Amino acid sequence: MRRNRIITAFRDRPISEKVIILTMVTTIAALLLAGVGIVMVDSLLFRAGLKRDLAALARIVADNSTAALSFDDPEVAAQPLRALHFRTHLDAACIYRGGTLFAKYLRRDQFACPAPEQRESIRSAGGNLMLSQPILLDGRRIGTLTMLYNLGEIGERVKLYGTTVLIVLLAASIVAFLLSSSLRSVIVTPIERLVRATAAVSETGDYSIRAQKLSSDELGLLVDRFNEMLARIHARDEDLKKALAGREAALREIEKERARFHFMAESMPQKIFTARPNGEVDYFNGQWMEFTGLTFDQIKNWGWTQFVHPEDLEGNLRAWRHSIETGEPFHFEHRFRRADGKFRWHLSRAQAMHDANGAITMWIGSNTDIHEQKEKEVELQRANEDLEQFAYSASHDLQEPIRNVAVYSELVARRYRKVLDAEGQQFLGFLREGGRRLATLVDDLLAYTRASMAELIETPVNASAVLQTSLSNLAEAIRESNAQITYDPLPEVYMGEAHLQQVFQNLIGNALKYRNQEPPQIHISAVVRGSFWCFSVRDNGIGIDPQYREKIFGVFKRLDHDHKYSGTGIGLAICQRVVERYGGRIWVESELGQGATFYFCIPRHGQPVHAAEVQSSASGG
Amino acid sequence: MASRRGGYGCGSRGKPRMRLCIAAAALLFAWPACAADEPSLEYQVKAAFLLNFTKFIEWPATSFASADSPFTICVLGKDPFGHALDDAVEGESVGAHKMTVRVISDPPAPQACQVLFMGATDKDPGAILNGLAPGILTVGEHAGFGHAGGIIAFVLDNRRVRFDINQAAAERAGLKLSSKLLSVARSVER
Repeated sequence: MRRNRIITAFRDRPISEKVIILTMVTTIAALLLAGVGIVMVDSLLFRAGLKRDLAALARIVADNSTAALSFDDPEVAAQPLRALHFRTHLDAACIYRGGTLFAKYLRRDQFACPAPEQRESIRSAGGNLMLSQPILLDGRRIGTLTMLYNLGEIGERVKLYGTTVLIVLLAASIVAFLLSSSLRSVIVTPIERLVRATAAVSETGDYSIRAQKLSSDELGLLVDRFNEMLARIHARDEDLKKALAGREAALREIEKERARFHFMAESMPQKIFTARPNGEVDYFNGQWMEFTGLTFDQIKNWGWTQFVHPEDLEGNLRAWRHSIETGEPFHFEHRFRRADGKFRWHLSRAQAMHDANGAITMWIGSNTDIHEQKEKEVELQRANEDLEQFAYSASHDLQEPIRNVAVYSELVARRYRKVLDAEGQQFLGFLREGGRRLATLVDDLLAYTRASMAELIETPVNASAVLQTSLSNLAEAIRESNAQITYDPLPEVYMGEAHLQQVFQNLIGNALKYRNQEPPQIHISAVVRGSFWCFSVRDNGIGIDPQYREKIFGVFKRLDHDHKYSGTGIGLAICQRVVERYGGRIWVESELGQGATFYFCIPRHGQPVHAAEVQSSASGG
Repeated sequence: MASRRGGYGCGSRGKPRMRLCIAAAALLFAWPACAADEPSLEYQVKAAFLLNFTKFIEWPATSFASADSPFTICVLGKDPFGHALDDAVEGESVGAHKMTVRVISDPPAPQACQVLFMGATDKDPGAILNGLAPGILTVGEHAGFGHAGGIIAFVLDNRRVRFDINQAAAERAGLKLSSKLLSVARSVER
């Protein structure tokens, strides 16, 4: 714990202090270890040397004392012993003969002679060296020399060494401190520079700052790496700034675009909205708020459903969801509640905007107030119906007198031709011709007015069979014109048999009638387009100038004003009425002199469908 | 070895004991010791000294008749040692020369003796000494033995056996005396 605290405390010191501390600690530790080692080795070596030294001394003294022992002269024996006093740590040296002390030298009186040993020996005991050396003469033992050596000398040496080491340690520490103080600049200065550089970068955010490289060691490498890193960050920062700027510009552009759109939308008299791909409305222009008297927050997303007429809401939602799911344009007529509580008819249209991948990004829609128009339409329809009723009754009532005119003019011609002079017969001829044309005209008018009275069809009729009937009715005209008629297998359709026959008969009849010099070639076929069956009648006749493509479907519209071709000019009008009655559409594609192809499309499942769908399905290809 | 043995007393006739007896006697010279029929302490010491002299002196090879001839200690005239000297030299040798003791009545022939001991009874040692061949260590008890040309002269000094050395005589005899021997001598005449 304690050690860890020390390490933690050390870890938080500045590097300059660390360098000094490390140098000092290393120096002191090295010196201490070296000092201890030297003292230990020295004392060991000294002890060993001392033993060798002492043994040699003992042998010399022993050898010198042989004569004294042989000739029984302790005085002489004591002389070399006394000479040992120059060894200041030799406390005692004694010669024994047998077990008896023969001669002795004691440095001080309190010292005692060590006892003789049987063999030559030298050993440490209690801070002393005890030596026992046999004295030999001619290989025979004549006595023993013993010595007592005080090892206090070693302690003195250790003390001396210790003092020396301490002094060296002190000097080395001072030198180490001075050296490390000057050396720290080598390590600390580059680090401090680096630290200053990092601080400058983090304070200013300026990544163009570079740290100064002072050396080529790891610190230099660190500086290089740091600078590289800075350069990389700098580059990335620049990229990021550029990207951000680009993004901001794009956002500004989008914002500008939006503002322009909103300005446009606000300045329009119509009601405009935009919706997200999921159908939630995220923008209504001011006209909306003005009209409904509600706030944007009240009507945004799906809030708009609250002002749609309850009768229209279900169909509205179905059509809107259909568009959202399929991406098809939205087109709907419905009533919206105005701020005063009155409902007004509107025509709503919406188109999806797609991104590059074809995904829907948003819907843009407009709602046009068609209330007056709608009311006029209703009025017009009523007037139309009245007119039709009148035309029907008129033509119905006219049939009787016209038939009388025809019948009796016939009777006059048959019975009284001889009575009449040439002029009278010519007048009668005019009368008969006029009566026939009047009868045809009234029949066609009746057919036309009947055409709008479509009944509900429960079972489909086989178009092939109807075509056969039509062709047999036209057999004479076909034979006369040498026409060649071909047809594909035709489907069953939900149409009144008479109505379909009327359409076929009129179109084929026209094809036969408006032929050129060549015999007519007519082809009838049918294909599926969306929810419709689309029939076509193609001929190789005189064709129709495109500018009259619409006009020809009008009542009494004939293009040959010189009456080269016979007819009342009501046939195509009847066809259009019939087809539209079933919720279909009829049109022609032709160039003058190139033949013509008439198309008419009938819902496959009997229900009348919205006109817009017919349009898109028919022109879809 | 001998010193490690237990007793220091006399009585046994074993040779090592004999020498120990001498050593003990040398220390406590004045004490009446051992049995009455034993040689006197003085001569026991002198016998031991005679033997010990041989260890501090070198004889030239010419002193011997042959390489394996014995080393002979000759006692001229009356033998004062009893069996002490015989005991002392028993089993001893100097180099390859086995040590023997002979008692002679006339001055020895060359190479016959290596040590010649002359007792106090001889009247005029000078005449004998002058006639001797070199290579003989002469040891005597006479006062003025050294002056007469003897090499080692036993003296009694304060009741201790000591000896004087005439180094010039030793050199004349061709003997090399160890300095250790000289250091133990009471006086040395050069």
